[in-house]
Amino acid sequence: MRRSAPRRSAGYSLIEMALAMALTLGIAAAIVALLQQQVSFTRVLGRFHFLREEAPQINSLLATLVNKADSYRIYGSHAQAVAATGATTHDGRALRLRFRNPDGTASHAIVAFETQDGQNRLNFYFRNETQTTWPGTPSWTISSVPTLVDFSNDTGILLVAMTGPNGEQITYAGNPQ
Amino acid sequence: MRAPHRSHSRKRERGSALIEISMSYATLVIISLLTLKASLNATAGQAWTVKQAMSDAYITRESALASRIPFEAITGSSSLWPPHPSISTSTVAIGRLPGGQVVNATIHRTRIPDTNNLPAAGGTGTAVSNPTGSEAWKLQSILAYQVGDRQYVKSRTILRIR
Repeated sequence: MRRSAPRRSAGYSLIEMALAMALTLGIAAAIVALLQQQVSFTRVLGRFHFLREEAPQINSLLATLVNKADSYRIYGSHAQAVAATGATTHDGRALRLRFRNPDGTASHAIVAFETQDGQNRLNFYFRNETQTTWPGTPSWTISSVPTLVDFSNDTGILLVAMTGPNGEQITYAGNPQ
Repeated sequence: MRAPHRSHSRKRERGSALIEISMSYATLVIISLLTLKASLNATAGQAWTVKQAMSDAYITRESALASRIPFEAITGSSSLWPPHPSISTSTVAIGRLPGGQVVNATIHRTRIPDTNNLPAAGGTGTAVSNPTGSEAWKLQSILAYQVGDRQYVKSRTILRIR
């Protein structure tokens, strides 16, 4: 005589199911938390992008330019730098550079922080020795990431203070020849 | 006689499910700890890089200032670089982190006379050894800053002669 197995043991009890669901939910919650942690970490890394990569590159480029110049002037705006009027020692938004050529002539350049098409840009304008007027459009854009670039010379040295999109700030010094 | 055997096997299966879930939890905990450690390492490395960039920028300013400042301002009574062994120490802001948090460092400055300077200029030179009365000073700036629990120092020395 064979007894069949109890019917109750064929499935899972309510307690077993509840326990399994609770544990599954716990695992799912842990995975979501892990994901959130990774997302926040990526966001934190992204917020440092300006200080880590952009600002040093801008500084490297500006240092090369300024070191090649034999003189510079700071102006409140690109327009003032073009007109060469209203030179200042602080709150500058444009830097006018003069490069002396081997034949005695001079080329000029303007590095200007300005807003174009609603976007902040650090632009570079170049006027060679044969040109009598400045180009209307930038020769190239150095960067469009900084929210503010401030040129100053209060202490006798050229300071370039760059502010990034998250309020971060770094100040570089540059000296012409 | 097979029923008891099946019942025993099912019990073992139920037990193994518990072990599997426990292992899943343990694996998750290990993964989360590893990712947390990796994140902390990467963040610490980033803070190091950023503060290096800021301190490099500031010490460049210091070099430029020492090279450009008028000689009278170097040797004057209110000089930024007092004569050695006096040292001026001040806290300076070398930059801001995302969110606007100020990063501070400490700058120490002193100036060291050349031994051949005349006594009035801090040296032991004489009219014979230094007939032109030339004056040379080493302007030394030391920037100290902290990253985590470690302290770093950068220094620049600029020689000024007249």
